[in-house]
Formats: sequence, structure tokens, C-alpha cells
Amino acid sequence: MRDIVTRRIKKRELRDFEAAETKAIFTKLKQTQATAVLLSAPGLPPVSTLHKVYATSSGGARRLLFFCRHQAATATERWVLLFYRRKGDEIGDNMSAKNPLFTPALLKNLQLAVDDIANSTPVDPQFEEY
Amino acid sequence: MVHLVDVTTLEKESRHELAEIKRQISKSLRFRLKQRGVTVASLARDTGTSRTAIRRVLDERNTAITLHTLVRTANGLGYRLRLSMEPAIERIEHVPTPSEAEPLMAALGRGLDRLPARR
Repeated sequence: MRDIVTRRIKKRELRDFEAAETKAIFTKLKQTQATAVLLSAPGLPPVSTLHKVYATSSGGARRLLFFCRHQAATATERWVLLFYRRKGDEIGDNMSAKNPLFTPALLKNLQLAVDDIANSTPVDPQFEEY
Repeated sequence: MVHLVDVTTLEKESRHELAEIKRQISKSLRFRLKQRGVTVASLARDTGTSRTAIRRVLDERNTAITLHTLVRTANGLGYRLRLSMEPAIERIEHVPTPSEAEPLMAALGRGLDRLPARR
């Protein structure tokens, strides 16, 4: 299980939040994901999905969106952060195609994540893992 | 493929967490009670509460206690109670992928597949 935050997503989504809070949420999420992976069906090809996480921190309710890459054959999952928003945020409250603001923001952040991963090198990774 | 942690699972985890917290608190308090040679009756008298309330605090299976009783019992045995909160993950749900996002989703997936197994 790997939680990945790319450099520009971090700059864009996490700049208004305390590092201690985000780290605590990622740690808790990892424990929850450990349960989730046990539910994965084995023997299926890699699949990419989007998952919304409803979290509560000492700073208030948070709404996160992750791109999840499942590789059932190796039981490997990589979760890439795309949104980290407060409850009440215009995107955080409604992460669906019904929200006209969601899809353009999703495309923007997906592109940033794609570019950061593509530009990463072993000596200069453009992402952090939690 | 099921990748979601459903609410039922999280509720079970909450109940388990509650039971574990109460088990640890009750164990500590019972140990202290024994160590000090204090009886339930005298502790109840000292803390101004009932023996039944003290027994509920000491019973590790009983999670239906008030914070007030818990604090008074702990204080009566020379403890200060400290509570801390960790973030909680309420639920995780699948979000349908907008069709416009599919090419970028595929590109990100390919990029991740190229990453080394573990840095």
C-alpha cells in the first residue's frame, strides 16, 4: 500500500493545512486501507478508480479524493492524492460529475499528477510517499 | 471487485476501539485500587459517588459510563485523566470516473506502473 502525493498536488491542495494534520490523516487512512486490501478480489487485471475519503481531523471535516491503482495480481495498491478539501468546499462537498466545478478541477489535478510522475527520476522524485 | 470499506466495518472497528479503551482504563484502575488497598465502598465515599457507579467504571465490559464518573474515579485513585483525539476515517466511497478523465486516468496508471516497486 503506497500513498503518493506529487509535488504540485501538495503545493496546490495541502498549502492551507498543517503538515501534522495531513500526516495524521494519511497514517489513519493507511490503517483503514490495510483492511480494504484484504477485501480485494485476486486475479484481476490492474484497475484505476477514484475513491472519496470522508475524514475527521482535529481541524474539522475533510474530503479527500484519491486516484487508486489496483494491481490485484500482486496485491499492490497505489493511492495518489488529487483533492484535499474542507467540508463545505465547493468541490469537497460534491465530488461527482453533477458538480460543474468538479470535472475541470479533476482534469487539472490529474494532469499535474501525470506530469509529476512522468518527470520523476530516482534522484529527483517529484512526489512523496506516506 | 470490492475495494471499499463499508460503514458496517467502520462501526465494528469503533465498537472494538471503545471496548479496548475501556478494558485498558478498567484494568489500570483495578490495579491501582488493589495496590492502594482501597475498597469500592471507600472510593465511592471519597469521590461522592455510588458503589454501583464505581463498579461500572471498574467493569471492563461496561462501556456505558459517564466521563464525569470516570474522571472522579481516576482522581480518587490519584490519576489525572488525559484524552487525545486522532483523526478518523468515516468512510471511503467509490466515485464514478467522468468520461473526460479516462485518458488521464490511464496515463497516470501507466506512470505508476513504471515506478520502482519500493523506493
